[in-house]
Amino acid sequence: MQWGEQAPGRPLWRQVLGRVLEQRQVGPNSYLLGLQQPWLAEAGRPGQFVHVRCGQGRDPLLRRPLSLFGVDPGEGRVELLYQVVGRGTALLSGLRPGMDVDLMGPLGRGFPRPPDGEGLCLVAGGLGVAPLVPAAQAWGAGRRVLALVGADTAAELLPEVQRRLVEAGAEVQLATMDGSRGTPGPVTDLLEGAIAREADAGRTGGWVVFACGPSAMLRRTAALAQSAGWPCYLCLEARMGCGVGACAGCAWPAAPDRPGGRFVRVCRDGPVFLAQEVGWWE
Amino acid sequence: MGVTPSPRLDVEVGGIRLKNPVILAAGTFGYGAEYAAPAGAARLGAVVAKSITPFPRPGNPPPRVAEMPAGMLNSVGLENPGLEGFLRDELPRLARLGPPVLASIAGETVRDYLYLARGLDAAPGLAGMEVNVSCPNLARGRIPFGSQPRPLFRVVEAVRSATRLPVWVKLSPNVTSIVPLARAAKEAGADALCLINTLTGLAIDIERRRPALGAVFGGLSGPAIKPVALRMVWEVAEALDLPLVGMGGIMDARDALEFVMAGATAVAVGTATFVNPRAAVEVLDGIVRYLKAWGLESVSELVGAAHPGAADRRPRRGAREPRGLEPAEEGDGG
Repeated sequence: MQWGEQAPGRPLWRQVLGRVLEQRQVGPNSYLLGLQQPWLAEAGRPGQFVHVRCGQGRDPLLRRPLSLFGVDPGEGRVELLYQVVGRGTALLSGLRPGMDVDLMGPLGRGFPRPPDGEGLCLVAGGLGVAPLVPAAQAWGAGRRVLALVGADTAAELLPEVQRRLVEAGAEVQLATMDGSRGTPGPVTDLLEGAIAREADAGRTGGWVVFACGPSAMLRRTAALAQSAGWPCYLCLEARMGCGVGACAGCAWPAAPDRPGGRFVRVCRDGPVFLAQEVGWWE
Repeated sequence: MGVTPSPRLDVEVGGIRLKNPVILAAGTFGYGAEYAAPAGAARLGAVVAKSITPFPRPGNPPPRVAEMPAGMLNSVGLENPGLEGFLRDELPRLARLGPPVLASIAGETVRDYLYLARGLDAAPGLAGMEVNVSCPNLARGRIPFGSQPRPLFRVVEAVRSATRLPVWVKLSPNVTSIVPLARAAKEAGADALCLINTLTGLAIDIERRRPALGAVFGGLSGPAIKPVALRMVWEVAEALDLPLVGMGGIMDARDALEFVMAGATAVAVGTATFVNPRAAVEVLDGIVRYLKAWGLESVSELVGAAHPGAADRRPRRGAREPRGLEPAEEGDGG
C-alpha cells in the first residue's frame, strides 16, 4: 500500500487494492460494487470519493471518481454505487467477486457533521443520492432526517437506496420528472414544500441541507436554502485528472466574493462545499 | 557466479547531475504536497515544477480535462501562483523532496521570460529552469514562441543572458519541422532540450453541441502521443548533439527505454502519474531490471542505441536472453 498526504490538514489517502465481494445490479442501469478494503472502510467519510482505475490497460486511461456509498468499518467493507455511462464504468460492471480493483482514497473533503439537534435535509438528484446515504447512516441517529429523492423516472429510484435511507431513520419523499412515481416535477419542488411547511409551523431554522445531483438542481437547492436561511452543503461532480489536487483539471468557479482565487478544485477543496463558496458555470 | 555491481543510473543532463534518468514532468505533480510520498519523488532523478508566469494566473474556465483514446486533453491554462508565490510557498516544499528541482517558466512576452529567469536565478534550492515555449506570444498574434525558430531563439537567448543556472528548453511538437527549432534553442544557449510538450487537439460534446473543453482547444498527452514524441526525439538526436529529455506518453519502463534508445539521456513521466501514482518509480525499477537482465553496466550505454551505427550497443552474442520486465522483489534505483 502506498500513501500520501493531501493539502496540509487533510487526512491521508492511499493507493490500495479492494477485493470484489459483490457486484449487484440494483436498477435498470445501476450497480452496487461491494469491496473488501478495511483501511478505506475505516478512513472514509460521507461525501468523500475514491478514484477508481477501470481496467488494466491504457484505454480508457483516466481513473473514475466515485462517491463512497457504503462504508462499514466493522466488516472492513466499502460500497460504490454507479451507472454504466461510458467505457470506464462498463469495465467496472464486468468485475466479479475475487477480482481486485485499484483505488486511491479516501479523497476530498466530505460532509461536516451536522450540529446536534439540527435536522438533516438531504436533496438528491439521480445518482447524486450516493454520497447522501452514508451521511444519513452516520448522523441520522438522534435527529430528524428528511430525504428528498428525485430522478427522471420511477425506474431510476432505487429500492436499495430507499431501504437504506428508511433504515437510517429518514422520512423519504420521492419525485420524478415524468410523474411516474412520487410528486411530479423536480426534487427541488419537494424542498420548497418542506421549507413552506416549516414556515407555516412557525419554524424558521433547525435544518441543514446536504445536496448532490445535477448542476442546475444544486443551484436551485442553494437558492432555496439561502432564502430559508438553512445552511446548505453541496457535493459537486467534475471531470478529474489526478483526483488529488495536483493537476488543476477539476477547477470550479469560486463564488465571486470569496478570497483565495477564482477557482476551487473539486477533488481537493471539495467535493463538498458550503453553497456560498462556489459559483456556477453550466 | 560472483556478485555483479548494480548498473549505473546516473546521468548528466545539460549541467545537472541526476542520480537516475527518471524525472517528474511539469504540471503533473503540483508543487509536491499532493503526491510526494506515493510518487516516490525522493528516489527520482529530478522534479520539474508546474509552469509559473510572472504574476498569478487563475487558469481557464472549466471543463479543463477530457479523456481521449489512450490519452487526455487538458486546457488548464497555466493556473499558477506567479513567481512570488512560487518562491515563497512552493519551491521550499519541492526542494525538501531531495532530487534537483527545476522551475518551469512560461510567458507571453520575451520580457516575461526575462523577469522570471532573473527572479529565479538565485533562488535557494533551484537546480535549473525548463523554458516552456508553448505559450501564446502576445507580440505576434498569440502564435506560440515555440512555433518558429526566431521567436524561440529570442526567448532562449534572453533566459540564457539572465541566469547561470542550467537552461533546458521544452519544445512544442505543434510545428512542421522540429529540427530547426531544436537548432535555434541550441544556438541560443540551451543546455538541454525536453521533448515533447502536448499536441494541440479538440474534442466536441455532441449532446451539448459545443467543445468539450471550456477553452476550446487543449493539449493532448498520454500514450496517444508517444509515437510522435519518439519520432521527434529521434530526429533531434540525429541532427544535433545536445542532451535530450524524452517525454510523451511514458507509462512504464518499456516506454522509457524506447525514448532512451531513440536518443534521450533522461525521460520524464507526466500523465501516467494520474493513473498510477507510482508510475515514475516503477519506470525506474524497470530500467534497472532491464540493465541487469542484459548485463549492461550503465543506462548511458543505451542512449541512442536504436540508431543505425549504434551496432556496438547491440545485445552481445551469448548474453542471457532476458525474460522481460517482470515485477522485481525490490527496487534499487538509488
